[in-house]
Amino acid sequence: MPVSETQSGTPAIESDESLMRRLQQGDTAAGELLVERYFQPLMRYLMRLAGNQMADELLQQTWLSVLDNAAKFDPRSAGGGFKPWLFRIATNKVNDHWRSRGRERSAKEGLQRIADDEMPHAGFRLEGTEQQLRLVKAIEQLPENQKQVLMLRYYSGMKFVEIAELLGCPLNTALGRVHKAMIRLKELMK
Amino acid sequence: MVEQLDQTSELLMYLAGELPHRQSMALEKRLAADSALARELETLRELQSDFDAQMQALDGKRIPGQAMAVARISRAMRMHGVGQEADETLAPRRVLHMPAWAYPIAAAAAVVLIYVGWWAHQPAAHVTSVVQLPVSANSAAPVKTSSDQEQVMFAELAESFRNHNPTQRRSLDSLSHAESELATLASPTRESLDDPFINSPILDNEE
Repeated sequence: MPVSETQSGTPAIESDESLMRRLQQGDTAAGELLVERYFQPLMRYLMRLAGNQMADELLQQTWLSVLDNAAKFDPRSAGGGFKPWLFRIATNKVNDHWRSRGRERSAKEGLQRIADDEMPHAGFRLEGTEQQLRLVKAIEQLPENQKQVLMLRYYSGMKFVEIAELLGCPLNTALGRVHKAMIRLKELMK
Repeated sequence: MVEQLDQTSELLMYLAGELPHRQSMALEKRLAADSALARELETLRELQSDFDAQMQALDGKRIPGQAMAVARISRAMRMHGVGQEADETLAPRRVLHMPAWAYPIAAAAAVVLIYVGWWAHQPAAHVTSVVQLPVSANSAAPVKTSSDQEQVMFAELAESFRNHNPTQRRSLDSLSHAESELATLASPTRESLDDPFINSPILDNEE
């Protein structure tokens, strides 16, 4: 059940942590509710970092990883609850993807360039206006570490301290990356 | 208390509302006194709001196909969960050190090994007794052991040693060698026994 009744009779949305407890007890329906709840922000986060085609695969991998690690989830030690924990897993999946892509990049670079020239990116069909297309292209041009901290901040709503901890860098470094990324985006959008 | 921040980082933290209260108060005092710092804060605020506005415009439309994607992921999760349950069900069986079918095979192998061990030790006693037979060329015994019965016995022993273990084969080789040596010694002895000159009383007297 996605909602429960409060004492006043008004429906209350079941919390992520409550759904996770149900998932820990083997209730996959609770997992489905979480997937639905976080589909939009998580999918967009993965799209911005890994591209539209890979985002789908990474999304599934993320949720399977959530299922695998459900027993380890503890809301008191997850640094702000389920959402940061979920984005932490997604970020790890993206990092794995980047690492594997780095190995294949040199081999596929030429092929990708040809494909990019021949057909528009799948995401461009979704993000319609010229201004939006430019923004997508500008985000793609950001260095991976700047793009990651900026998107993580925007889509997960994690605190800067948590982001720095997740990425394993000093707080100053994380904030510096955000600052540089925003300046670079502004320049690219002019 | 967060770590020592540079000026821009401190301003970004302040804009995000994540600066601890005491540091926020101190910064506000500095902002009131320092117009350049205040301008930098405004620049950062504008940069942040521009970015947020652009991102909100970009994410204005919902990603299509959510229902299908959610159904696919949910199905994958259910399958994954079923797979895990199956693994857990099978896990106790893995505790067994050997599969059930291995026990009768192990018992049969043990019986075979015991029999082979017993069989391997059986002929060893015969070898010892045969090797200990007097085969010296100097003794008078070869004359007596070179009878037909003994030849048959040697032949039987040789046959019994065929297809035996290496130790016993070595014994067989030494036995064969002794046999041939015995035969060599026996031949002239027989000839001498048949020879009328050797059977002469003169010879007997000499002995």
